[in-house]
Amino acid sequence: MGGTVLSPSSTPSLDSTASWITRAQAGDGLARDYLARRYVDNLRRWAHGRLPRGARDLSDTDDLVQSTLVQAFNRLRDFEPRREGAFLAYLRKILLNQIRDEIRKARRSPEKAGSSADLPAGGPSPMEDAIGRDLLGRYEQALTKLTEDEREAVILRVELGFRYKTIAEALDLPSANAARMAVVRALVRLGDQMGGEHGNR
Amino acid sequence: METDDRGARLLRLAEAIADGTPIDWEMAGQADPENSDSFDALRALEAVVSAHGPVPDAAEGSIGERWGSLQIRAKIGEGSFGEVYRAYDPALEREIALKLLQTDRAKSERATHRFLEEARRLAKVRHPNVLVVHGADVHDGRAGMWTDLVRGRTLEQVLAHDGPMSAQVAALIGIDLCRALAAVHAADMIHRDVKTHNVMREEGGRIVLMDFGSVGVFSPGTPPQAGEAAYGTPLTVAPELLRGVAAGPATDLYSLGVLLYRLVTRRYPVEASSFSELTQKHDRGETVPLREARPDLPTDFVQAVERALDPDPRKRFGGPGAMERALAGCIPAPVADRSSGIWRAKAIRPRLRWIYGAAAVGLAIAAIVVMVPKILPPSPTGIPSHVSSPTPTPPSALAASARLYREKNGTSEPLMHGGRVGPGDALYLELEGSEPMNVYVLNEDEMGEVYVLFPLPGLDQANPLSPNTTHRLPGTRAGRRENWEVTSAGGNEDVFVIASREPLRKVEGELTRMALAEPGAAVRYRKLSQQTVNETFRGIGGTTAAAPTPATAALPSKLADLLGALANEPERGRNIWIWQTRLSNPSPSQ
Repeated sequence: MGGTVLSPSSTPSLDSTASWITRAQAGDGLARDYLARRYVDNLRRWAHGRLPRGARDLSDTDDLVQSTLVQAFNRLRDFEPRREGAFLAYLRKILLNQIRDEIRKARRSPEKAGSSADLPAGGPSPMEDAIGRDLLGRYEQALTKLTEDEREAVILRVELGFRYKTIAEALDLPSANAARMAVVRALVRLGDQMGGEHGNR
Repeated sequence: METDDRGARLLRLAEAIADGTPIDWEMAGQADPENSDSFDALRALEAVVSAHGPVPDAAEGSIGERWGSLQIRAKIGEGSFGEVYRAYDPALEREIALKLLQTDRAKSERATHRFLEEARRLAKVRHPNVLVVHGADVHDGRAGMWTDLVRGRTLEQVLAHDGPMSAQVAALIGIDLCRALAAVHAADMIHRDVKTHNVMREEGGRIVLMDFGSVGVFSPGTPPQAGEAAYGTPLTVAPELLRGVAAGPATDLYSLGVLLYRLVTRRYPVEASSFSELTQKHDRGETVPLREARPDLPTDFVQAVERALDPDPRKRFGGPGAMERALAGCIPAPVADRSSGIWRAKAIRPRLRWIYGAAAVGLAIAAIVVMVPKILPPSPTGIPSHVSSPTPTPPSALAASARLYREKNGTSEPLMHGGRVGPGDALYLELEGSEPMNVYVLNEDEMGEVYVLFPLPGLDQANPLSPNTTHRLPGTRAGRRENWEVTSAGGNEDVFVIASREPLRKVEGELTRMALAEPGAAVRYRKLSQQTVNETFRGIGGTTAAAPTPATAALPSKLADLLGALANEPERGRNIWIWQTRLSNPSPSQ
């Protein structure tokens, strides 16, 4: 029971996510489809929170996420598929860069509002609305100071909203509890890097 | 020591942030005023985390917890989209299956929307061979739907335990799944993941198509949607899906062909360890023909499966109805040749007389499921293509399922089409429909005489029968369970089960003139006059029946001809469901 999208359980020879990534790297269209389907909801939700207001109707977000996935797959040959967590962090990085590019483009030529993703110049995103541009900046900055493992743990739990069991699989950890502890330690480190009210940058 | 304490406190706060547990920051700060910077940092971090939306529950649907009013009892399955629990519904006082959207997906509005949409669509399909959805909701940010709890094994489990099946058993399962797919397609949906893992054989034998996590909307005439190909399971999806063509009814039939292939071989027609190998094999036509995998199978069955597996979707069956007919044709004919002199010579008077008497005590445990419909229940997908949809939208086809059983020494066994019965056998019918329906069980003997076996005066059960309940017929009389009993031998007997949205007035009228039987006494079954038979079965819907169709012409039964013609008329056929089986009741000398 339970929904099945190319269910690995039913096809033992076609199983782990890493093998999907490897196949996608080799240009396998079906594997790319599978990966896109697997992550598109999480990425869309993530992008929705970070796009400036007014540019966040679903079609814009979809366009952005889709072009991110296309870019990611095109560059996939340079990526070493250590594990799913790394792949997600890689997707997130490309998506973040895309959003920044789009915002820069929109700021440079506000008259071309009809082009690209119709991003208004400088409007705050829901994330900025919620916590302010400064705090979001501190968070992003602190994130870069973590180790890769820590960064992936934070992104998967906090940003993409995965449950511990999935995180354990994505980070090659032995159990959901091990994944939870990895997230907790990464958060403590992240807090240290962000500092208090005034930050410690 | 103090440093350790501080570290532990920070860790606890970080745990709460990671788990999404609310934190009283005032209290936390007061407890450790000297480290307010660290607390401020974590507090700021918590704000960032919250802004990303709620994190999934750490407990993730623990046993004993509640989801809405439902009490979770045990986890019984897990898939890519959700987890399935056995849960208890205190309002209805029964156990149900609860499918909860995975917590990581539950954060996505779109995933939640899609999940609820799946439930809504599935709820529109009311068919005995399709999982029944009772409701869907969102509690604590987590979407869920609750359905019938089907106790049994998946066909994959049956296969693993019992090994490959015979063509006949596989065909019977295939017939039920064709009906299930007809109902799904009639609701403009495609299942997209028909496979042995997604079909349950319920204890008692009912075949149930489940797992609609991959279901798609099918709009005849609309162009394919990109990305559809990613659904399904590689070894069971149609080759055109691997090439990115959109799923349609024909892709479900291909998967059903793979399922049937697997039921009789435990293998897949195309086996591969990678996608590239799989697509290459499809492109080169490197399939293992069923004939090679199982040379002993009857040709009819092999041809039916091979047609479903045709790489060209246009060459497959036109719909589940056509495939069902082909599979029904695979079931062996009755044991005796009805045209033989012996049978003719014996067919002097009705060979099978039915009385209904007290049933043996004890719970009946049914084994396998199905009986063979020689007259097909009308299915919307079986409607000839030249028939245009009437306006306004017609009601969906009446759906039901029936099985005939023999009860002996407290146990029950299903009777197959052509099954042999003898004097003393106690028979009963299990019937379930998707809506209230008027049910008539008729028996036509070799002389063409038609008797009414149900309804009968004096029984506790009367028309219309309630929906979504398994009715055991003839039913009970004064609370005592009754069976039909075979009292004499000789000849073939056709048993017809007719379910109709409207009562068959003429038949009901004749029954009201019958005398009530005394409890324990033999029942005289009402013989219907040919005039009543003709008027009833030509007259439903107020039109004249068409000529018998090839699908039913093979049956030398007048009633079969009439009902077959009826079932093939789309508009009238939607309101009536017909099922027939033939029993062989030879005399001892035969």
